[in-house]
Amino acid sequence: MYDVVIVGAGIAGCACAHFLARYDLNILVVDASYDIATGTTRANSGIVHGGYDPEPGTLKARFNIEGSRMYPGLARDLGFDFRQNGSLVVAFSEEERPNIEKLYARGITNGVEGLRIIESDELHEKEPLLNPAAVAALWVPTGGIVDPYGITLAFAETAACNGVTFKFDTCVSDIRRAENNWELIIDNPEGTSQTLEARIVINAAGLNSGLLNSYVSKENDFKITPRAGEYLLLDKIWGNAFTSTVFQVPTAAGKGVLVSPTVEGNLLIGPNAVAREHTYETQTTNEGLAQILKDASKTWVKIPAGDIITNFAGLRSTCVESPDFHLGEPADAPGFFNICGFDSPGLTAAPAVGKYFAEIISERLQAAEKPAYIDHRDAPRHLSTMSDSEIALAVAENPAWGRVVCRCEQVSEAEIVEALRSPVPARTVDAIKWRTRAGMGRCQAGFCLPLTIELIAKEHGIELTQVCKGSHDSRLILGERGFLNELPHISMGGAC
Amino acid sequence: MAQTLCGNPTTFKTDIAIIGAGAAGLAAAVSAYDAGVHDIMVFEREDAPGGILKQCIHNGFGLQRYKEELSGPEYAHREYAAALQRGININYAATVLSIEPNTTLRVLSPEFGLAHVEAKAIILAMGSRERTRGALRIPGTRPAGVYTAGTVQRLINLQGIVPGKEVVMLGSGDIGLIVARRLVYEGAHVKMVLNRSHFSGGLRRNIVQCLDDYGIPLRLLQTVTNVYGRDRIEAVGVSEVDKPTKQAIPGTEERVSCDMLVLSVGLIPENDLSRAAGISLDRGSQGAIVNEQYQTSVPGIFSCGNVLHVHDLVDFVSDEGERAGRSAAAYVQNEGAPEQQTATTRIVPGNGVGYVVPQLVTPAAHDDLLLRFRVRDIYHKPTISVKVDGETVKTFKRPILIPAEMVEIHLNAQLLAGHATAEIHIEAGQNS
Amino acid sequence: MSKQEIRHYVCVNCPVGCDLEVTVTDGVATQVSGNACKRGIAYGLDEATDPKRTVTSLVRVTGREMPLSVRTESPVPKKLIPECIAALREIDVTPPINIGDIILENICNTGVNVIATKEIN
Repeated sequence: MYDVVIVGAGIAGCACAHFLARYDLNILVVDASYDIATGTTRANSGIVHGGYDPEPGTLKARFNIEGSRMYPGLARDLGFDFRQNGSLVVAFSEEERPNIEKLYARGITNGVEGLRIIESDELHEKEPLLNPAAVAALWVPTGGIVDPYGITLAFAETAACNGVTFKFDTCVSDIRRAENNWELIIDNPEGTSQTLEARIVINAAGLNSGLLNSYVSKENDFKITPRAGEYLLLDKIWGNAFTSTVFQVPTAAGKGVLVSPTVEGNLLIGPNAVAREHTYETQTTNEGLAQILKDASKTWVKIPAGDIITNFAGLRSTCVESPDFHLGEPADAPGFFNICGFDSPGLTAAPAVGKYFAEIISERLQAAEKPAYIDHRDAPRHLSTMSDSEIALAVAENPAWGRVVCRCEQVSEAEIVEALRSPVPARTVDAIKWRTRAGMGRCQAGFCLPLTIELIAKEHGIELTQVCKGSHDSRLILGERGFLNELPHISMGGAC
Repeated sequence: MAQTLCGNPTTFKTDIAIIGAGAAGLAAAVSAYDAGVHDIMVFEREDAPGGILKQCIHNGFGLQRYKEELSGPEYAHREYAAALQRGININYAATVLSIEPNTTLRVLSPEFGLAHVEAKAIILAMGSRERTRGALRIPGTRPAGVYTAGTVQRLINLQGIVPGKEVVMLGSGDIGLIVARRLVYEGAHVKMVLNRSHFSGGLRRNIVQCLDDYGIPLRLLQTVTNVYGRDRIEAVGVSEVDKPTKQAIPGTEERVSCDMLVLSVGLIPENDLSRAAGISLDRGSQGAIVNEQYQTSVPGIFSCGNVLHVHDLVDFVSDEGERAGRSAAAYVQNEGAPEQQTATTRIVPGNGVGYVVPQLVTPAAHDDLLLRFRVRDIYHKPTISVKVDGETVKTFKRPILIPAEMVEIHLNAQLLAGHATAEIHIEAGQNS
Repeated sequence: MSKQEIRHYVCVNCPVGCDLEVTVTDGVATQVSGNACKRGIAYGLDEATDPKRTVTSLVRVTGREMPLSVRTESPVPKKLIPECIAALREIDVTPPINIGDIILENICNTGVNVIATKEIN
């Protein structure tokens, strides 16, 4: 019997786990996937929004502002990459100016601090590569950029250090009322199933949160629609091309795309918004990518398309019927806490929602605070950002710091091994990539993949052929030499 | 070597520091040694010498240099033996993190930790990397099973594991062709090799002996326009390519099932360190701009091999390494004194030429000037002409020029004296 | 009455890649045309009669993940490649191994030895 079972190890679930871990509760986080943050959390713009966008009075407005204010402190205490680089919403003609003025007014109503409309000269001085046609912009100094995986990992690791259990490859296929508790039916990857009991369930299942809600409630019948956003990522040589996150002002023609530096030092362009049928459809399309390039050229006229290193798509879990967040208990399912329709600004809002839920649930369960609660996490060390003397000392203590595995991102073996031994261990090549950046650079893992596979196999005591890219069906190597019996067929040639 | 046990970077002083112990780096080390500079440090990020040759177990190496046909590991072993014989200091698992001012390197290794290597000259010999799916902007899902050819080659030949068994290959560069045959030998089925342009980037011999011999179809003017599969790749979308625009033709996509997509779509000189150090690069070759001494825009830094421009024959890589090694030795022996200021000529790629190495020449100093370049298209019975101020000063006839094969010409540099630029043009022959 | 057929090959001696027409009379290659140089004649006759290839492959090394690279010392008949590959799949070698060590003598009765191309200590 668990006090709390959190379904979903994305930013929302892990934020809840982190804040609930302060209390003397028996907490389990389950996720259908192989790692934290594999769904909506992973592939998005990584923007901490100022809060000028949501309609005043909505849950989105409230938790956006609260969350945005929590970020600087959390980044410091939990050691994840966050930078308050500021956002710009740019008007590219005088006709677009009223739209930024409208956003300014809305931001003031929502309580966003430091908003200002800046004029052409200041704007172009700030962003020299911006389309010269830009006339003015809304400047949002509280806007920031974050590594969404990084903050989710920080939440998960502190939660695990404080006693929260994580279970992956664990799919919840049904939830039933059992007296005052909840019974969760769990499907294991081996094809077996088991039942878990929990006093409280938090539904942080992202794209599947609508489905999960339907197991317990007739009250809310909201449908979560996966909406894909496609992105292009530019080489680090363009990481400083823009210092702020540059939005285009929303117009009747569309919301526009953003151009933004990332905390890792690349430059991100995107997203669009395309409805998808299934929750796994994270494919990109030629048309989508071409459209993004075209739309982004409004912001940056000469995008160096030759320096694009990768493209990807993420899904947003949008509730089309009522676009606000759906937070809290349905009237017919007390003890079942929804976090549904958690699309933008979900990433920004998540810490505030997690804190809010922890307060309500701890009170409901009359849980006391733990006497020994770990509220700090050292930022993972990265070779690429360490000083020479830090590196020298690290190698003296552990020679693995001196062995570079990923040459493009300068990731050492020690960093990879640390990720494999984390309180929430990385188990796959993708998990290593998200945690250490190994394989994320220009060669896109061409050189380091063979080494990473070996390290994963060695640390987890498995065969090279069992190592997966991500899910347990994504084996990277199909067999050892000799597993195929076919002999070459010779064509003697000479035919006409 | 002194072991660092405190938090201080070590300092090494050496005459010549060489980045990379592949074909270029080893040849550079040996020739610099033979030119009289014996204080040399080579830094190799892997655990063994030879660079990419270690995994190139096929034959065809060394016909020019050793007059016999060797496999990659055998060729590498000979180059390494020459360095070993001279007692040249090669550091393994040693990664150069950056090139600092005053020909200094920051080098990291598990053995000596972080070291500042103060050299009198540096030779860049880092080789190249492969173009990736991301650079091609192939859309679709992101499943396991999409690899570059060199990665597949490494997994099979050095780690003894086979990444896929039902294979589609995009691009027909030489590495790809060799890997296609390797996969067939391992029992895999290579369904087809697609090539976006109307000619293959691979050598004729490899097309015959790696594809034709095994009945693997080479489909010209076709490319991959989609990747399908959630976890492991299940299929690719194959589309026809419009020859003039080189774009995939919408509506022609055919779904081809496979469990692996192998990319062999070109090599890129790995100049991340050079770029960060402010060394001027040539957009055509994607390597450093060098003079006939193989010296880059930063005095005392030389470049050779695949990091300078992508070669097709290792024999020429070794030759270039030797040239750079001798130049670096001379630079050290002259104590870095700049050569007498003499006018330089810029060599410019003209019609049909992708790039020319070296890009800068000092005509007064040299009679025999070696120029290496690549053409952009196939030319039958072409004329190569060297022009200064619009006037042809030298022509060369060749039976054929193809993009897959690097071209070499020898020129009396005096012909260029007094001219700011010289252009290399290709004129198509009558039969083209 | 003698039986004549024409076979087509692409010469690989140089990048020109001449399209060769080889006349085969009663199973014997007799004439080559389409060649731009005399190397094409020898190549065409060989390809039509008894094409040969150097085989390069791998064999297992006892107790090691990394296989040993090997090659035939000289070219072997192309039609025997599948048999050669099958023979090499059966082999396990034990270190130490030097470059040039004979790994398999007289592979598939071709009279050609297979040698190691890598050193393993």
